[in-house]
Amino acid sequence: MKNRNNTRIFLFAASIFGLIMMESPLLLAANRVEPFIFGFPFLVAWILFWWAFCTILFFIAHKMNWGKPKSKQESDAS
Amino acid sequence: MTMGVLIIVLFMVIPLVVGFYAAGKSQNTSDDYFIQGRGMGSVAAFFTVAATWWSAFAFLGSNASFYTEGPVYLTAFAWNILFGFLYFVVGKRVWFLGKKFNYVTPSDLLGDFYNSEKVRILVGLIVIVFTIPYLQIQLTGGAYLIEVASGGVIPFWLAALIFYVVIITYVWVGGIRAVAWTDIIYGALLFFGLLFVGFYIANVVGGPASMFSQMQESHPNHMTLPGPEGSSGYATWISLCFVTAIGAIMGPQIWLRMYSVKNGQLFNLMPFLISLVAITYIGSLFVSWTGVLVMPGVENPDQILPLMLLDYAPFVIGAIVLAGGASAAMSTANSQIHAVSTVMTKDFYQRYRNPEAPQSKLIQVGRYFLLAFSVLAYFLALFAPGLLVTVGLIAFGGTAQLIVPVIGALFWKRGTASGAMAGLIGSLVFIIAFTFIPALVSPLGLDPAMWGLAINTVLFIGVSYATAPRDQHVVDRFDKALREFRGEEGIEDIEASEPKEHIPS
Repeated sequence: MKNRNNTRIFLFAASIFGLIMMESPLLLAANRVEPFIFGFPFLVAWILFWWAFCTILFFIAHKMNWGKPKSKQESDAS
Repeated sequence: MTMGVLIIVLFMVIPLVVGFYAAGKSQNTSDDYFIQGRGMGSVAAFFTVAATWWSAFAFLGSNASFYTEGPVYLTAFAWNILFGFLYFVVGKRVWFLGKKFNYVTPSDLLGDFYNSEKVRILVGLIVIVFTIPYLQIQLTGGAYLIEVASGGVIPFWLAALIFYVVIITYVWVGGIRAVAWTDIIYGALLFFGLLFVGFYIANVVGGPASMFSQMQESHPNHMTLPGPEGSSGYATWISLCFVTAIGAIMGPQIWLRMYSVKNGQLFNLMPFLISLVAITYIGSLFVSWTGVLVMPGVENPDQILPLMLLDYAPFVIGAIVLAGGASAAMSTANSQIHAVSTVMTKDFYQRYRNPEAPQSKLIQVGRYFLLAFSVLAYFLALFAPGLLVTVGLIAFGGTAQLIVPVIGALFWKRGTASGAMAGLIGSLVFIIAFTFIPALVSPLGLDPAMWGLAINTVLFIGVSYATAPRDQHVVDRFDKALREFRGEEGIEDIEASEPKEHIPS
């Protein structure tokens, strides 16, 4: 139980961290055009990077079932 | 031009066929008509949520915003993530409670939890009143796209009318099943359509990288906050993200889609899927910033996408994508019309006028409301225009306020009906005052709805503590249900925490 909860807490914390990087005033530090990254202005690249971070994280979270065992009811339904 | 009309006709006929096919599968109960008997499959559920969420606001509004305000709409990447995350955290609990206590509408849950008719009525009114402006956006946007895609052959009023007749017909016959199935087509088309034209149009100026470097030379202000006009800075960035994500997830159309889902596993996957589809916004960015370079000074920025397509893409591709945009609008409008008529039927008609109404009567009444709301929205679309993003933000700001009593219901036992009422009324008064009274300026440049959320939370907690706790039976009933949810989720060991109590299934 404890390990599962730790996984869950980690996944939640990482999701919120990704959002903080995109939405907190930290964003203002990334609010510039240069340097260009793979042809993208820095701000666009910054957002795409953290978007990719969260998207991949959500995929892993799904694969890990957000840190919980598959319940009987849900396995039956699927 | 006839080609354009042909494509539009095709886009009208396909949903009708799908709608009638869906109607053939229906079971003629009101639960089936309103929430598909809680048996919606995962593929349909994902597409209907994604396509419903992805409206004209995204399709036209994103382009208008990138075109005039600089990069502020990039915050959309974050709002998809927030929306997906909330869909998992809040949505899954709402789904669970809905299944357990047989809820169909938002008022069912909140009215039951706070054990109050007043809360029930207020929530019903909020979802209806604030969904209508958002519905109007869809129709305005959709009709406009049809007008352009037909090369002006179909005028705006007729486009809106056709639009309506199609939606009404298939929702009338097929209920939410028809809506969800047509949304699969719309969703796929939107996703690929916008992404494709983004790259296609950027090639006009030598591809995305070349477009960005030309932008840097000629419009460097357009590439960073607060944008070329200096008005869309960090405050707009954060407001858009929170108000849009929270407002959308609290909209009745999304709420109904939480109840409809058959398998709870979908909620675990949804954050990933919703985040993934955000990549489409990059298509809008490419189209709009290319527009800044090659087509500056367009009078109505909501028109930038259609105008760019007509000038720089083969007509057939342009028409398909524009029809796809109309689909974006339709797929939201159909869900909204269906959702508000569900709320009217279940929360007002059935509860206060005719509690004994048989199933067939409920479906019939639902259909009449469907018609009434459609007529209302049609006239709004004709006579009350406005920049899509602005109107959208007002609508989202209102429904977003429901998140406070919802979080209260899901995570806090001490919340009371008076607390919920005070929070909702206080925040709505603030939002309406700061939106419509020009002399009032929202502090720090944040959207009034952001302050609304803060006021709402303070009033909710303060008044809840100042009033007597809710009826103990109701508190226990929800506590038990949510404990059971946590047990199933593996967050809490119910056996260990409550060894002697029987958990009803």
